[in-house]
Amino acid sequence: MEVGQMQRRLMEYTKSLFMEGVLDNQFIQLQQLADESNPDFVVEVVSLFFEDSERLLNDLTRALDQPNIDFKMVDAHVHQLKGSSSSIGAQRVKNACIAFRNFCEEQNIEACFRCLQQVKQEYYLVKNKLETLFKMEQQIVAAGGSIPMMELSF
Amino acid sequence: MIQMENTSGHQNSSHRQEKPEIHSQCTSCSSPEAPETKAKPKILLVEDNKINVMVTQSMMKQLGHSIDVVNNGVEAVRAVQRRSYDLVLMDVCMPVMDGLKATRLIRSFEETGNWDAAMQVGIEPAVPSSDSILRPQRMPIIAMTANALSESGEECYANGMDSFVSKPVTFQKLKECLEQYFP
Repeated sequence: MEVGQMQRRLMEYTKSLFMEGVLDNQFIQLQQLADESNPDFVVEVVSLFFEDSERLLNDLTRALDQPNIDFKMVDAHVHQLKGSSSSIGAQRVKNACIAFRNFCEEQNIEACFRCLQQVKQEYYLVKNKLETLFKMEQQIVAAGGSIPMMELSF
Repeated sequence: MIQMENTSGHQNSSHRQEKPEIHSQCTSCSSPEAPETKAKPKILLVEDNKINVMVTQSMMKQLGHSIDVVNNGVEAVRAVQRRSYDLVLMDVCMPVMDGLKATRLIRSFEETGNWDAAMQVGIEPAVPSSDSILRPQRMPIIAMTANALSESGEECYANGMDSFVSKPVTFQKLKECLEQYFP
């Protein structure tokens, strides 16, 4: 595949992620922070997000597995995940966290379990999509091309 | 409507700055002050979330500022005891001590000239508090709120904060904030 074609594929793919609400404008903020002194910024911060999120999801799974659930702790973990997903533009993960926190407050065990499943689903979705996106970018750069920049206007 | 822009450069941003030197990232408060012909504002970021720290730090760097970072209210109080800051960006929800409480302690110091309030909650001052003869200058403290009901603007003001920035923090929000305090 030649570079122009790869670039168009990348743009279509990125566009679809915004249309589906998987990513929001905050992701563009991240892209705008990459420059010559920090070309891999987006990959770096997203990698940190993956690491941190997986730790939080493990902690959440464990916390909900306890005989006496500590809802304050569960809420604290979800709060963290909400914050970081919001910061990188992972909109659906963020929204799932918001719903989760409401049920934590109600101490609704069943709903919390469902929310955890939902958050995990959204997390793995965005992880998968971003990994695909980064791979496409790598291929373009390896072929000597440059990454087209996205502009969002509402 | 989503527009696509195909540019030949890797980055095409109207706000990108020229960087004649690389700023070393200040992640602790003990970074030595380099001699500078023009004094750069000393900025403290108080934030527990690592991803938020990375994003905010990078935005500040793009605005031409290097910042000190601490992760909770107690560390914020200690940082302020060690060094005078021109601006504090204070996350509200943090473990150990939240931003509202930390702000109250800092304001108490500014009003009284001593750190008695901080000592009452177990924070030993880094320097003897009786040293200040002059009333310390009030430093701008900007809350970073997650828009939760418990982090309303009113509550921030009631606890001594000067203004707030809602999360997620964007380049534009930080830029406007800095323009307000460092015109």
